[in-house]
Order: sequence, then C-alpha cells, then structure tokens
Amino acid sequence: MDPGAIAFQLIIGIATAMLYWIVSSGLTFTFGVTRILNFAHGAFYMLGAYFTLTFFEVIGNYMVALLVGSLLVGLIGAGCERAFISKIYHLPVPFQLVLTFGLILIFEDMVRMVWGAVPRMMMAQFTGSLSVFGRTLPMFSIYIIIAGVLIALLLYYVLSRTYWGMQIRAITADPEMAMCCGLNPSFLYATAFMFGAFLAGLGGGLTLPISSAAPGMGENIIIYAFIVTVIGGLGSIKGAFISALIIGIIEALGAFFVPWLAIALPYIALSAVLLLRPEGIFGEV
Amino acid sequence: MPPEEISRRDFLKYTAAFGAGLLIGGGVGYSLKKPEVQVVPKEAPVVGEKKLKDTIKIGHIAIFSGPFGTYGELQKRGSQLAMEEINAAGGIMGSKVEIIYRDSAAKPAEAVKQVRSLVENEGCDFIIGIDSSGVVLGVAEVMPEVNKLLFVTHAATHRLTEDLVYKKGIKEVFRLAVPVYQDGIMAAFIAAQLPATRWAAVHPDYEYGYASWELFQKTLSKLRPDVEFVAEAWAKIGTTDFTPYISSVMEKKPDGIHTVEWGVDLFTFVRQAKQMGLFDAVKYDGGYAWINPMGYSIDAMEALKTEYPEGCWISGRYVWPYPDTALNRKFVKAHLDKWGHYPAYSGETSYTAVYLIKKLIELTQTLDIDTHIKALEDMVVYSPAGARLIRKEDHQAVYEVPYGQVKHDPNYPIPVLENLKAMPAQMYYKKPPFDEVPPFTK
Repeated sequence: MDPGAIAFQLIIGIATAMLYWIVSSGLTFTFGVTRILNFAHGAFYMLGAYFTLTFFEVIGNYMVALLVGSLLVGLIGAGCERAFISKIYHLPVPFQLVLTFGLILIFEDMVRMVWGAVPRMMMAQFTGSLSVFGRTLPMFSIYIIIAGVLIALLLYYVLSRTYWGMQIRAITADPEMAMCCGLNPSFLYATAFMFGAFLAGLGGGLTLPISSAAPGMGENIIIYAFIVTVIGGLGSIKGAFISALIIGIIEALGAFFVPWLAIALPYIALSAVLLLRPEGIFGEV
Repeated sequence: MPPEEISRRDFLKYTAAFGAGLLIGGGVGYSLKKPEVQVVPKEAPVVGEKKLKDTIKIGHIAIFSGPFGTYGELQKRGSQLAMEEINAAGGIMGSKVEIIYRDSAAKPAEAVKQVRSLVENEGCDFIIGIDSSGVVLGVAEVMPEVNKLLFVTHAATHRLTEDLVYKKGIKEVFRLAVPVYQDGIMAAFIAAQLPATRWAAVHPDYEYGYASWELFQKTLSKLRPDVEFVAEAWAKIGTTDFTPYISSVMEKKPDGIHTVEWGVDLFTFVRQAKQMGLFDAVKYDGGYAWINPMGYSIDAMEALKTEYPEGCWISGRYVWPYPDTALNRKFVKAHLDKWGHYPAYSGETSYTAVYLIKKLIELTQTLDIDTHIKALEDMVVYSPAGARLIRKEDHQAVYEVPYGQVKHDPNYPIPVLENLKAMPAQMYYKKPPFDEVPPFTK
C-alpha cells in the first residue's frame, strides 16, 4: 500500500470535513443558544448559494458577493426568528420541527419562483491545483480547508473576546440569571439566530464554486450536518469541529478502502456514538 | 473491434430486421400527410367516431421538488406541448385532454399515493411519467389494483420490464423510454471501440447505478476479454463533495470512466473531476474514454455548457439531433418555440406518451384497458425519437438512441453531439427470457 495514497486521501478527507464543519457550525451554534433544532438551516444554506450567485453576476467579485450574500441570509434569519421562531420558544420540540420544516418549503418554492427550477452554476473559482505526494490536489480543497479554519477562529474570537459573545455565553449557561443581570434575551436570541443563518449562508456561498445552486440543494448536506452535530454533542461547537473531522476522514478513507460501504460509514459512526455516548462526544447530559 | 465481429448469420438476421424496419418505417412515412406521432395498427381501425367522454384526463407524475425538481419541468414541457397541440386540433375524438401534474418527491410511497389520488379523486384515465428507478418499481405494483395504464417516460431499471412485466405479469405497465440497456450495454459497445483497458465507475448509490454498472461489465467482458474493471465509487445522491470518490478512483490508475451520474450530481462531479485531472487521465487520441449515458440531458448541457470537455461520449433516452426526420425536426422546433429550450429526453418521451394515448383511443374507440393492452402489444409507434416497437413480452418500447461526442459549437446555446454512433436496438436490448446479455451468440 502506497503511504502517499493514504496521506493524500487524508487531506481530501479533511477538506470534506471542513465542508461539513462549515454547515454544522451554524446549526450547533443556533441550537446551543436558542435550543431550536433548525431544520431550515439547509434552506439558509441554499439561499446563501443563490444570493452569492446573483451578487457575483452583478458585482463580479466572488469574495464580496459571498460576504454580502451571507449577511443578507443572516438578516432573513433574524426576520424569521422575530416573526416565527420567537413565538415557539416555550412550545414542545415537535412545533419547532413543523415550523422550521414549513420554512424549508416556503424558501424552496420562492427560490424556484425567482431563479427557476433548473440548477445554476457559477463560473469556477479557485481553479488550478497543487501537486501533493505526486497527486493532484485541487485548489478548492485548499480553499475549503482555509475557510473552515477561518470560521473556527472567527467563532472562537466572537464567543470569547467580544461583548456580544460573552452575553451569548451567559444566556446559554443560565438564562434566568443572565436576565436578572439585565441582558435582553429577545435581542440575544434574534442575533444568535441571525449569526447561525449567516454561517449557513456562508456555507452555501462557499460550496457554490465547486457545485451548483439548486432548489433543495441543502437536503443532503443538512443530513450530514445533523450527524456531525449529534456526534459532537448538540450545541457544542468544539464537538462539531472534531466530529466533522471524524466524519470527513472516515468517508474519504471509506471511499478508498471499502467503496461499497463508504456512504454508510457516517451513519454507522452515528449509531455507535448514540449507543455508547448518547449525549455526543462533547455533549452535556 | 467487437461490433465488427458479428457472424454472417447475425449479419443476415440484422439485415433482414433492418429491411423489415425500413419497410414498416417507409410504409408509415409514405402514409403520413403531416409529421405527427403515428402508430401502425395491426387491424384496420373501427369506422365511425363517437366522443367517449368530455375530458380525457392524464395524470403526470414526476419529480417537481428538491434538487432533481428540474426533471419534472423537463417532462412537463413535453406533455404540455402535446396536450396543447392535440386540443388545438380538436382533442381526442372531440374529447379535451387535461393533464394533472403531481410531485413524486422522488419517493416511492409518495408516488404511489399520488397514483391513487389521481385515479380515485381526479378520475384520471391514464398515468404517465415517473423519474426514478426506485420509484417506478413501487408504482408498477399498484397499477393492476387501480386498473389504469402507466406509460413510463424516464425511469430505466430493467427490473421493471424484465421482472414486473415479463415475469410477474403486470400488464398495465409500458415503458416508452430506453431502459438501462442504453446506460450499460450500449455504453459497453462504445467502450469496446476505445483504446481504454482499465475501466472505473463513479455511480450514484442506488438501483440505477448498480444495474448500469453490472450490465456494462458483463457486456464489455464479452466484447473485450482484455479489459479490467479496476475501481468503483458509489456516491450518495445529492453529494456536494465528490473529491474523496474521485481521488480513490484515480489511485487505481483507470484509463476509462463509466459514470451514470445525472442532474445536479453530474454538474458537481464533472466540475470537480475536471479540476482533479480525472479527464486528463482518460484522454486518448480521439477524445476522452469517458462514457456518461445520461450526459446529453438538457439541464446538464445548459448548466455545464463548455465546461463539459469536448470529446466525451454521452447519450440520453433521446437526443434532439437524432433521427433526422420531418417529425423530429417539427417537434424540436415546436419545443424551442414554446419553451426556448431544446427538448430533454424525458420531454420527448412525455410528448410521445400523450400522443400515443390519443392514437390508442382513436384506434380502439374505447377506454377499456384490456383492449388497449392488446392493441399496444407489438405496436409500432412512429415518434420524434424514431420508430418504437412496443415489445409484447415485456412492454418495452424498442428503439435506438445514439451516443455522440461532446462538441462546443458557438452557433448553439448548448454543446452539440458529433460522431454519432447508433446500433439497431435489437442488437443491444436484452430479449425475453432475459438470461443472456448482448452481444448475443444465438
């Protein structure tokens, strides 16, 4: 067995992992703060891709389009939180599922009305490749890895170094005490939801150059995001990062060693974690 | 090389078949006053016309939501065009045609629910459509129970016609689209002519992928005993990142790729494969040893445009440039005029399905299912895709669709096909009792 092949497959796996991490980060963050299991996360991911596509066609600069597009998704997220989500914080979980699932249907049909049913592709970005272990590593894998690490650093910085981040941590740790100290929960929940939607939009915009924008494009990746989030521990950002790495790498090595089993491996990992440690690797009971 | 190895007896047989085809086709062609879907009746139609009911209702089930929702739209363009043409010309013996569209959501249970609702609540007389192989197997099972005919316009698994119609005897199901024989067997006949000897697969992980790859390997092994099958990758439907699959396959140093990826997955796969150098790995003098049976799907061509490398071998369940007949030219033009897009393969099959229903009713003057089945078996349907023989045993429409190489032509909004290669359908469609994979020895 060529060790270069396995090392190369590991790098590819890390790139795949970063893709999963980017999408799961917002999902787990939103849940950690608001305790809302947001199925519409995939819809925000889709909107991120479409907004980036459209802004790119107008502005011509991918990075600017990505940022503007994701921010717009964040605003839409905040709007959804104020208009709908904020009404169901006190209701049982099934209400969250129905409501956020309804949002998916609405956004998907809106996308179909505005952009049409035919999937759209953006001009390829980050083309070219590097030679690594004598194999071709595409630039977009490197770019996804960099983007994933940057998002991890951004989350770390925002949560540990900014005033807003400290408030978020306070209200997550002890909502009642935080309110007694004068924190505004409506504001914090809305902005937390906005930040989660922003991360979802960023994920959609980031994957656009390597795939395409299509109605319902978030359906598959959101399943992986849920697997990652549950394995890592619902609400744990560190857990999501680690479990995304696990899932990405076992998928890549699985494709290499046991191709017929590759797509089942993430589910097997999920089952194993649920059996052995139902709260997830970094989850709290 | 192998297609050249046909025995003299086979040659005579095919020549005879070809001659018979010409005779029938010529006869039909001669009798045509205007280019329109026609059928060759086995018996002279009953004289006299009476209106059977005010509205003939057709339920059209396809995928209208999710990432593959385009496929419903592509089908709808065909069936709606046919409906409007027919209604503008007076309907079916005075009856108006109405099509009710329903979303299968690519789920068997949902499609079955829609069939029941279309028949029981909407009073549909026929069901057409169905996109996915997984879905069609579920739907076929309920057709005898609802007692309506189903014309399948897209789903390709050979298990539908071989197992459910031929072996199990579900007579209510007919398929107008080419089965997976196009994706596996015909693909192997193309592959056999290429220099590649180390073939690898990148397929969607479900029925269609497995069936295509199995037939491809069986046929190609017979045609070219020197080839090896070195790697396979099974990606989930809706995969965003194909890189782990591409790198795994490339590690085995293939010089030929067989892939039945379609829809959005195909766009993602082609883009990522290009950047990882998978196309370069399978390049040969005359193009790429890259066979993608459903590559000439209109959505793929419109999305990928020049990004799909020139020289790859692709096909469809119909490709708009073939055959060059007055009827096909008229259909392509009408489709372009109405929708601003070239017809997709499932657009043609849906268009033909609606017209076939019209001709069937006019021919039999009834809505009786048993009479319809009897009339359809062994019927020849003259359609935009050419002459289709509806085989009696398995209710499969037998017609050929060519493969061609991608060519970027600035005169067209989408890539065109060059170097078209077609073969008589009888040579590569498995035949009852389906125990042998082509090339046939007996």
